[in-house]
Amino acid sequence: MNPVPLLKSFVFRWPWFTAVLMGFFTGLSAAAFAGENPFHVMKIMVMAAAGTPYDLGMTLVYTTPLIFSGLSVAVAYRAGLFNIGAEGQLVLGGMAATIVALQIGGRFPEFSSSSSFGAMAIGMMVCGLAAALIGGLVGLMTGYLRARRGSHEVVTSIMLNFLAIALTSWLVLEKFHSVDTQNPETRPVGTAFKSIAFGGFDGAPVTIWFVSGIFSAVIVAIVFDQTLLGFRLRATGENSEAATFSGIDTGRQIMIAMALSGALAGLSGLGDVLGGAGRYRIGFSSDYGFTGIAVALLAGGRPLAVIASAFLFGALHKGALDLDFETDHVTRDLAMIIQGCVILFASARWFHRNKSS
Amino acid sequence: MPILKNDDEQISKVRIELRDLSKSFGSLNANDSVSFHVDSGEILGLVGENGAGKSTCMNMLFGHIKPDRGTILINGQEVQFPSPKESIKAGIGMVHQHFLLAPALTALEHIELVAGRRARVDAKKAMRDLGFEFDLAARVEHLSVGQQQQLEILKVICQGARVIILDEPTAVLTPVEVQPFLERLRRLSESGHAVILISHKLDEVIRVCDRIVVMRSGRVTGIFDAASVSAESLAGSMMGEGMTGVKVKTSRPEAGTIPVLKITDYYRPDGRGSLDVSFVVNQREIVGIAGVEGNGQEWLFKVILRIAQRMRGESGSISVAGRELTSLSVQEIRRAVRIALLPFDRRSEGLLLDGDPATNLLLSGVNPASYRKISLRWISRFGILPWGILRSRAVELFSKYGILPARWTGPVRLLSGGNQQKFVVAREMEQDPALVLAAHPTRGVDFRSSRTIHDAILSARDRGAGVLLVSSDMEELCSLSDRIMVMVRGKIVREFKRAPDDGFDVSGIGNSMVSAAPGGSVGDGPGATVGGGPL
Repeated sequence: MNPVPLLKSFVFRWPWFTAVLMGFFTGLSAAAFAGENPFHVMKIMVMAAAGTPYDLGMTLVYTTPLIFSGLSVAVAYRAGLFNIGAEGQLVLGGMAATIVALQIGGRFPEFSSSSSFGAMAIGMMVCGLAAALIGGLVGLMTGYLRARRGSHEVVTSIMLNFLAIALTSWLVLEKFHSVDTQNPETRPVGTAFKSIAFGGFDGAPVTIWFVSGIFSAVIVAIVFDQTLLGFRLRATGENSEAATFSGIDTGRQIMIAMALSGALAGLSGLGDVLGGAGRYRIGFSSDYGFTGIAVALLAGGRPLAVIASAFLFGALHKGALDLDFETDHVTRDLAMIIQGCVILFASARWFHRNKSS
Repeated sequence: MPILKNDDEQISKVRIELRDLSKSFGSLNANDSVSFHVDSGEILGLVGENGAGKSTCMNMLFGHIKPDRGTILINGQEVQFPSPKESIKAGIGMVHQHFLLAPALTALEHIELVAGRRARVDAKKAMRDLGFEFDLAARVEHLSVGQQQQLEILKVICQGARVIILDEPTAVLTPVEVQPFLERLRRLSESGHAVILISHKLDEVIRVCDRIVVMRSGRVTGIFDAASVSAESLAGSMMGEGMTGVKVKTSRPEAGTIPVLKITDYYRPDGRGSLDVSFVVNQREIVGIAGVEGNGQEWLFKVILRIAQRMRGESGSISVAGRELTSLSVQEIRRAVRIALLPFDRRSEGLLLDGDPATNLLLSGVNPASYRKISLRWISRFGILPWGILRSRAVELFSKYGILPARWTGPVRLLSGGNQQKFVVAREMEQDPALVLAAHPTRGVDFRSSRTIHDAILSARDRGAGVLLVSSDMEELCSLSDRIMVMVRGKIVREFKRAPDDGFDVSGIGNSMVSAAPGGSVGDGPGATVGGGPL
């Protein structure tokens, strides 16, 4: 059998897998070029990402925000929009949750000390609601500007990122700064607001937010495929003219999509803020919002695939951390190289498909 | 290199031969051992229904698609065309149905883009030889559709094409432009070019071609000498069942008198899409709108549906089934009245090309009231989509309207143009509309499908719908309409009634279409140029 058509059909059938494979191949080739044994590098990364329960736990900790931010980008993408503002919505969401937790904790002291299941459930819901609401409002603002005023969402959402980061920094340093530390962080939230964490990961803070992420992905998948809303978003994104002719208010769909996208982005930070640190730290997000774009792109905008894609990027992030001290010639930046290559090859897929039709 | 050198020199003789070309897509044999040839100085007609394999065949000849089997020979030598670049080099040129022109560039700039600066002389000579009539210095946006087409042909000639493929060239022309066009085609072949003409219009093909190749389901079913073949035998060969193109017979119930669409002194000022109209479409009545494209027909639809932006100075009233629409939004209109819309461009205005048929059904069903038959409960209460019902509904429509392939569940992008159109018609007409807005319902559609579509429109009329029909196909207008209004520059200039002996004053309609439109060139002819569409 001729290997070429075989390879071709493989690439067409499994474009995502091909992209990942090619991305790793290219990235590891770069490592080899720098003088490392690529198999050794790969081994270090795999061990660091999932070698022990703790490592695996940390990988899941990194995966959690990426699931939310990946979903956020996917929802906007469904309606033909590009939400680059996930990063800003994420820090604002985390900040909102922290403020709500601190305020409630201040009024009702029982929340600061109680760790009963009921209190924790209420705490989680209230914080989640606050984060989603604020993120959603910021998203809605972008959506409104796009739908009714014609400002491009990429421009406005990028600019809102700067505002969000400046605003949260000010709030942390001027309003809620912790008295017992020199770090740029707020006071710790009460115990009832610390997220429920799972044991079995040797102390890695894998929290309820990881499960919520998966749950959200399922919900988004159902909304996409099974509801009128999902159809309207799709129609708006794929062919807004036909959508308009058929009586869909495309402007409204744009606002809905951006609000939902913002709400999901707002939830991204909670695993870190409430689960890990238990307080808001400036710069806690290592570009989760932006990585969410890559996550969604690799997943092709499909919500369930976002979970796998987020896990891959989470593992890459965690795995690359050990490269700094286990190798001589490469650093954790190799993760960025691999990530970039994967995205490059994932995008190349479109080119192929267009040409074949 | 440009081939037209000087007056005495004819372009070099050429013979292109296709031998056993085959191409399949999955289980579909798009082309099965297709063989024919074409010589310099000859016009070869290529006819067949939608999906017969004409486009696949020409795309293989032009290097867009690689054949699975078979060879292409030029003057007896086997050639391979991995891409259009090589086929253009070998002297093959293709004029697509959709023009690839930039509105802001001049005609000459287009020529120079493809053929270099020195092509100017060739272009002028070719224009003189072929009787092309337009100004090389004019910008494309100021050329009429017919002139744009001439420019496309000129481009191909200046690139040195010896074989010119024309895909449905007359589909975009008005009736008065067709005859001169066919004459130019004749001169093109007399100057030594080989011409391949793809068309649905059998009479045209017979009139202008030397030989005619008929295709059906991927095979060549006959090669005829145009001088001695009749339209009936061509049709028989195309359809394969001894069927001929019997026109829609029009014994019809009387038109109603209750107005469905009532436009009273509607005025929309100059700018994009000026209109000044006043008319009524009654129940059980088909009102045809004749006119050169770009004279406001598209805006008329957009204004009725309120997709056109509101303008200062707009006035008058538009009502459907007694409801005033001018103050509503398009969403409210689609909810309030049952309008079936066969849009001007089915691909960009009527379909989600990547969606399957069931998804596309929703594109009219998003108005839950119009989908009561399917499942009002589910759709409206929770917004949960009843996919099962939608899918079986799609299958039902496919079989009722003879849309192929039956039981298709892939993206509608992969259906042929005619089948896409039938699907849109099926979707829109099956929701029992009060008003039908139909634009070019059978453009680029073979005539078996045309008949299905005409039947659907007529039966909607007989069930009581009012139909507003825009078409540039005079035969279609005359056979379907109860009344025909002629639209020029956003105004109704004349109205024709169906005569008792079942006919219209066709030449009268044609004359009033052009009389008031100077030069045949209309400023805002949308859809004719790439990126030139409104909105």
